[in-house]
Amino acid sequence: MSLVRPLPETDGLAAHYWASAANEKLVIQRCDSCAQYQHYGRLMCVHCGAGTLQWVDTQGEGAVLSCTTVYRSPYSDVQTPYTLALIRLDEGVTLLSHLLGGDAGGNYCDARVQLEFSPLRDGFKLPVFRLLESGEPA
Amino acid sequence: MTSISKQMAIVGVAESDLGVVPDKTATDLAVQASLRALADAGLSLKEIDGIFTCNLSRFSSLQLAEQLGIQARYLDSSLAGGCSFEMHLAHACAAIQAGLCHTALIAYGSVQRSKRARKLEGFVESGTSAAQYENVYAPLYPISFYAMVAQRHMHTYGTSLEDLAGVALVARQWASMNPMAFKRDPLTLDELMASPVISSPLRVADCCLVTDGGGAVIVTSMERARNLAQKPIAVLGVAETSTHDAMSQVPDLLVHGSKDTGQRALAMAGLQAKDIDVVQIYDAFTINVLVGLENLGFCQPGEAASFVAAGHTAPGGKLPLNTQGGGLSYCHPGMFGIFLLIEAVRQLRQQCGERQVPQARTALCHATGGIFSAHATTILGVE
Repeated sequence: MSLVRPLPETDGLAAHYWASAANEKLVIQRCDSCAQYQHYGRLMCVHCGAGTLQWVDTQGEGAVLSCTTVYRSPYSDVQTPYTLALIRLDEGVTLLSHLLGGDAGGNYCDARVQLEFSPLRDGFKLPVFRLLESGEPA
Repeated sequence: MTSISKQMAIVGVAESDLGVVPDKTATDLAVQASLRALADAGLSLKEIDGIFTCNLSRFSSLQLAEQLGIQARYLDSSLAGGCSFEMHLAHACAAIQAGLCHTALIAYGSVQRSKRARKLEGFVESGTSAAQYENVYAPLYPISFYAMVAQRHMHTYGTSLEDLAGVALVARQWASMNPMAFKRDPLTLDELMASPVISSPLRVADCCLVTDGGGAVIVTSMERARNLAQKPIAVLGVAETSTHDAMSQVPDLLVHGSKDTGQRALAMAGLQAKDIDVVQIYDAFTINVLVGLENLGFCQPGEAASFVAAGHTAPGGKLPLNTQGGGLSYCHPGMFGIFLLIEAVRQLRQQCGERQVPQARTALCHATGGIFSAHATTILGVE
């Protein structure tokens, strides 16, 4: 069991996303035409179809849409249990990330979270989210 | 353009050997099922001029055509996960209607159990948005996504772990009446609840089986179908869609593409949910049945758990569901969609023996692909 987790593929617009994360900034795109946000970076706005978008820093706060604690890791460098979560940022976009500060197996739907960065290998830093206030399940 | 509704019919269905088939390849099982479906229909191979299959290899339909010795006029290797075969059926109906082929074979085979091909991380595929932004977080694919749907369902509606287990219990009740089912022994709630958690809240017992197996479905025009061996089963309605590919892009964890495809397929059929006699919903995980019943209009949002607990989907219930035992107890070679069609056809032909639903005249099959990413609904009926 020596499979290690894959590093992100950084081709295309993902290069800027991960370079920003390495500098501890979580970036998303805002459309010049309709002012809506999107994650991940694309060549066009999925809301209105316009082609001019700007990278902006997120405020780094949001809420848990849902979460799941994994008890069998496929990778030797990811220790169980770890909790995955879909995070809805206050800007209105959703990311898959890790949830820190809670109990394994807990229900943290709708709990508020704050962005942190977790160092990975090869200079990558991973955007992750920590529960605000108590770590009590909902 | 006239609707394809009632213009096409399924005339042959078959499974390959199921369960553990270590001496065959995936393509062997697709071929075996194809030959059995031809025999079921009373057709010969030379009458097949459309080939639909996927996931055998990169050029799946070419590979199957070569194995069968067919130079087909229409080839489709569309791959959208477990609902690919419902999509193939819709595409085949359209192709027949357009005169591009006359009799289409839809086939599938997999030896994932014997080859130990199933991996916790699933398919980590290069060139996807998941490879760029998500796989680094080590989600189990696909279970972690279904687990987050289950967690949200529990949070929103108060669904319990026992409610999820109840879906698996019903599946086993049906499987106990199916000689082809992989698991037929009686199951108790205590056994299910003692099953280890993999990706909370889902346990091993909430997950479909891992088996080998294949299946085949043959479709042709209703006009031609009337002269074949079996009672024609009409294709009344079809619909497909996709809502996302990567986990983060799901529009809503509880309102799915199935809501759209169910409505469109029923509208094409000129039916409502209450007119359906037997339902097949792809049960990759127990939660799939609950959200499927709600999105397809058989239950109000949040009411599926009590609906299942009341026995409505079980043998003798008012909405018999996954009557072969489903992916949870009958078989699951990785892409279950074709088996929904096979069982629905057999129910409508009244060929299901002990598990036969009396007077079944309409059936709805709903399959999903990926992580609730792709959806396809098929409505079948007898004249």
